[in-house]
Amino acid sequence: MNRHDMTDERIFELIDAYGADPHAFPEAERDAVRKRLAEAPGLFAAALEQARSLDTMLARLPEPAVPEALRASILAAAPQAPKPAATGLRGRLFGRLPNWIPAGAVASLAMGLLIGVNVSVPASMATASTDDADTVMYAALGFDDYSLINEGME
Amino acid sequence: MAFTSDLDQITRAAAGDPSAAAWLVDRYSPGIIGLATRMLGDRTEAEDVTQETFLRAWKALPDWEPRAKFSTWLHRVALNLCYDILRKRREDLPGELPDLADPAPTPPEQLAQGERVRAIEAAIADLPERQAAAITLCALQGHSQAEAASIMETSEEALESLLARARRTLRTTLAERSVA
Repeated sequence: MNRHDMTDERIFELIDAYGADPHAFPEAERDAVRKRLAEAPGLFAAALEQARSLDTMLARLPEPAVPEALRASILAAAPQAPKPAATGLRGRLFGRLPNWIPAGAVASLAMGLLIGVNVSVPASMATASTDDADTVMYAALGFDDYSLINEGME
Repeated sequence: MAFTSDLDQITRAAAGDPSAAAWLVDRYSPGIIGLATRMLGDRTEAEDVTQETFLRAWKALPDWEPRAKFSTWLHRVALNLCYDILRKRREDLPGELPDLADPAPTPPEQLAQGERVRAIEAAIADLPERQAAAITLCALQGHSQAEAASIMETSEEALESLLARARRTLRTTLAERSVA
């Protein structure tokens, strides 16, 4: 409806639906309504007053606040950025693996080194003669006496 | 321009930018919880609706259609969730007539301000659901006729009719409860 079509009946309808403030009316009809209201203020005074009373009550309603816990919960569920690809040696070795896998590999390596060092130290520090060592070795292979092997070889 | 700004924030939020997600939540959650509170008259349910609305938004962001208006989409989701809850209430209480105003006793004296606010909120929540949605979107939240009609998936003419009926019912109800 343009300003030329505006009727008093239509203005009453608009007040009935949107209240007393012409800003709330459909934009296309505002200017025509304002013009007519200025021409005949008394005609619409009672309707405007009744509408304004309800407008005032509605305007008093406080806007509900969003609790911080609710806000935090909503944000916690928001899309997450993909983790950036690792660079350098670590990235080339483990870049596509979950974080716990490289960590586990490093832990296993450390454990292996620790055990290896502890086991090898007594042997390296041994002061027994070579013969003693050979005797132990051949005994472990099932020969009772190192001399028997020597005889067999001769 | 709000629409362009929304789109920028949506794109960034979809990529996992937490500040963009916070921007969207801070901009739109007050309106969503306000709509749900007025529609349902229950703060806890309104918070549930607000959370579910944004969870659906987060899922929708990666495939967001730039031509769609985020605000309209978000309010429409919230409104449909409210309708679902109200429908469930009716099913749970088939003997009740939820569209009728609560026949609360008329207080003998002028209501205090806090009571007055609660009475108005109750009167809105007692409206038929589409009338409550229309009055909340237009009169309380300042959406344009076109926006409100789009959110409610109805015509602007139908919206105007809903608004007129809502205002008449509210005037009558509030007068009966000595609020007006």
